[in-house]
Amino acid sequence: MKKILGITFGGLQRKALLLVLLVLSLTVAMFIGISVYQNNQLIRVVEDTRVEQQTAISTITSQTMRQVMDGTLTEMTALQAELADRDFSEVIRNVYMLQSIAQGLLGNRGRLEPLPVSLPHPAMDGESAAYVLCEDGVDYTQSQWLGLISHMSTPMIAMHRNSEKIDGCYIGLADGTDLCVDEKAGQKLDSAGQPIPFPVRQRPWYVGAVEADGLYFTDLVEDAFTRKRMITCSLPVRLDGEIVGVVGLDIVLVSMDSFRNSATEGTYFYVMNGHGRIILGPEGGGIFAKEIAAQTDLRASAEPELAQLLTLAQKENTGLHTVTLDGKEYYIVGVPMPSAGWTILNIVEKHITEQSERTMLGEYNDINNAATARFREGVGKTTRLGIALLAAVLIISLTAGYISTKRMVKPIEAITKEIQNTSLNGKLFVMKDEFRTNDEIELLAESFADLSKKTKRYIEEITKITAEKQRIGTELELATSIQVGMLPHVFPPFPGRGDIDLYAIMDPAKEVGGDFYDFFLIDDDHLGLVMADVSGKGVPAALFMMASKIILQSVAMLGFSPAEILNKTNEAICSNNPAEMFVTVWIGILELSTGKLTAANAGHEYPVFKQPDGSFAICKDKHGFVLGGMDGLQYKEYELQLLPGTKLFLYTDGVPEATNARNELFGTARMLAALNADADASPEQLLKNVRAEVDKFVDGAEQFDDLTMLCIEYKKSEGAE
Amino acid sequence: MLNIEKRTNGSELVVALEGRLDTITAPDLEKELQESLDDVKLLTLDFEKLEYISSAGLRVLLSAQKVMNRQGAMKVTHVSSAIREIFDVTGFSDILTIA
Repeated sequence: MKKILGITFGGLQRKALLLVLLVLSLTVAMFIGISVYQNNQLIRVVEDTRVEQQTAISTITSQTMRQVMDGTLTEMTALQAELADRDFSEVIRNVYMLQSIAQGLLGNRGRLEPLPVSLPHPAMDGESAAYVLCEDGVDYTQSQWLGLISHMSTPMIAMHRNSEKIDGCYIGLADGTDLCVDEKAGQKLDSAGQPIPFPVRQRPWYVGAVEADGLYFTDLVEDAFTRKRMITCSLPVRLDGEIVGVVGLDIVLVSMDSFRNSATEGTYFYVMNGHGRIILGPEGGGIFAKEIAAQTDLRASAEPELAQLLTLAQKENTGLHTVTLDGKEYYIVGVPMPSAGWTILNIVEKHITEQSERTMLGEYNDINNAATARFREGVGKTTRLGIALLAAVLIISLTAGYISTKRMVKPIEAITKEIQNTSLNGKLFVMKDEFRTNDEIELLAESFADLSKKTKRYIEEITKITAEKQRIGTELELATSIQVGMLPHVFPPFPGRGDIDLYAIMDPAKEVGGDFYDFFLIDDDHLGLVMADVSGKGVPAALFMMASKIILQSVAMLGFSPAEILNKTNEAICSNNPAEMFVTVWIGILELSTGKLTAANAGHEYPVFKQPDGSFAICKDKHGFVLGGMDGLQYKEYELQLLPGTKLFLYTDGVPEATNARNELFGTARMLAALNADADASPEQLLKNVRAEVDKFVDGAEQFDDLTMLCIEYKKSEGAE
Repeated sequence: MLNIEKRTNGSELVVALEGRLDTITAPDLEKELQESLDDVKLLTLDFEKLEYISSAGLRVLLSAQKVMNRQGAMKVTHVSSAIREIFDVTGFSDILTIA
């Protein structure tokens, strides 16, 4: 653990702070998540509403506009047609009047004196004046009718003066002369002051009236002199059925021009003649520029809607129609002008009418965007404020957490220090005031104090016990050496005797054991052999063993037979055996000179013999009960004749009952095998072989029982040779 | 390890042993028997599940036999051949009633 800025990293405090931080972070994340979600929802709702409102506005405006257009445009067109028609009616009346006057004058030829006519003169300019124009090469003085027609000058001048719509009026005669009344005489003269030739009979109004043989309107034509655009209304004049001239009125398109000129951008005013051709339209032709240039009959338009509408418009007011031309939508109203057989068309680009809608939508959008922007700004502010607040909360909480955890952790740190101190110096953990926190920490401290006291006591006890144990250990070491010292343990035991070879080992499981072997010369010819096993192990068994060994040997040395030795020993043990211990004993007395072995067995393992030419085998001898178990028993003995080279192997149950980790017993079979592996070896080697096999078998498992073995080889009686 | 299971039927006590009766476990059995043998007329030791008996175990059997000689009878049942051999070797076959 290291300390940074007073916070112990890796300590409880850091963990507590981390927990606080985690909880806060989760809360903050949740808060931000919800806020963002709600804001987004709100913005979406606003957006959806905006779209809905726009759609509604668009629809309503569109419908309203159409209604407005339907009313206004239709009405306006009708009004325009009526006004124009009225103008034209007046003109037509005047044209008929002129025809009537001309025909009257011509019909009274002979009765009227021809009046003189004059050529145009600059002085006539600016006021209504009558003058003559001629075709190139025509001499007006030769005209047979001009003098008569000249009578018309006065009414023609009156007519011109009285109507502002009439720009000029004239009568062209078949002989190439023309009587003209207008205010522009000066313009009919060339720079030399000579009248400009005027091709009367080629003028459209003349040709048209002759061909139509009746009332004729020219298309929109420019005045031959003034280049003013106007329309001429003409009517043939007959004499005796022959057309001898044509009267014409130049009509200034006052009303229609004003209609045309009043057309704003995106709106078009057209006048279509009876042949479906546009005779008046905006500068450049507008949407019908191509048709106008090609003089096409619009009624034969490729757009069936338009063609149908125009055909209808020649007969009646069409009302508002929507027509699509070149991918653009237009409102069209057509109204006929019966007087001229023309049709007035008002065309409005639909998108112009939608301008107000767009404007409205635009404004609405602006308002909306501003509102949305303000809303977003508000949201941003709220978010920033929220973040600032959260940061503040975070800092305050962490500080508070730091302080409170510090307060909480401080006594624990103090306890930790005290404990470290305790364990370093071996001092007692003592309760201090700062541990008295009235909570688990105080309990912890008290537990430590208690534990510290107990530990101290335990350590003292353990020290005492260890000392005791060491003392016992020392005593047991001493006991071991005493016990081992009691048994004959110098090999070869009888260096001077060549008739026996003897070896024995005792290996107790604990420091001292209950097994023992013994051998002693009773006299020069008799060797006592003992193998015994006291019930149990350790010190009790060792004490019992010492007693048993001493009694056995003492009795044996008195010269008793093996059975008698066992009888007497049993009596001696049973008389003083409160622990009810017993000992198994095999005892044999070998007469060294003859090889005669007398033996008795008190509950001990079977002895193993090897005849000179045979292998080691168990000898199931006669058995009596163990010594010390029951008094008054009579043991039996048996005799065996040992041949020179015979080996006798004695052992305790520690050998066949040696146990490995798998709880398997070594067994007599393995014991015999170990002996027979090298049956001719010396007793010492044989015991080592068995021991090695047992060690191999138990393979590190704890030695559980005492391991005691004795092997004697009877070689040859010394005196037998 | 030795499991000692006791069943009392009037004055008859059956003690079934399971495992090893050796230096470690023999004191357990000795204590059990010391506590239970009062007023018992017939003690039956069931060796069906006994795997091994050491000399310390034999000592307990001998003590029990001596007690029961005074107040009734004792028998040992279901003795395996391995344990039977131990009894034979130690001469316990002669003093125990093996049924």
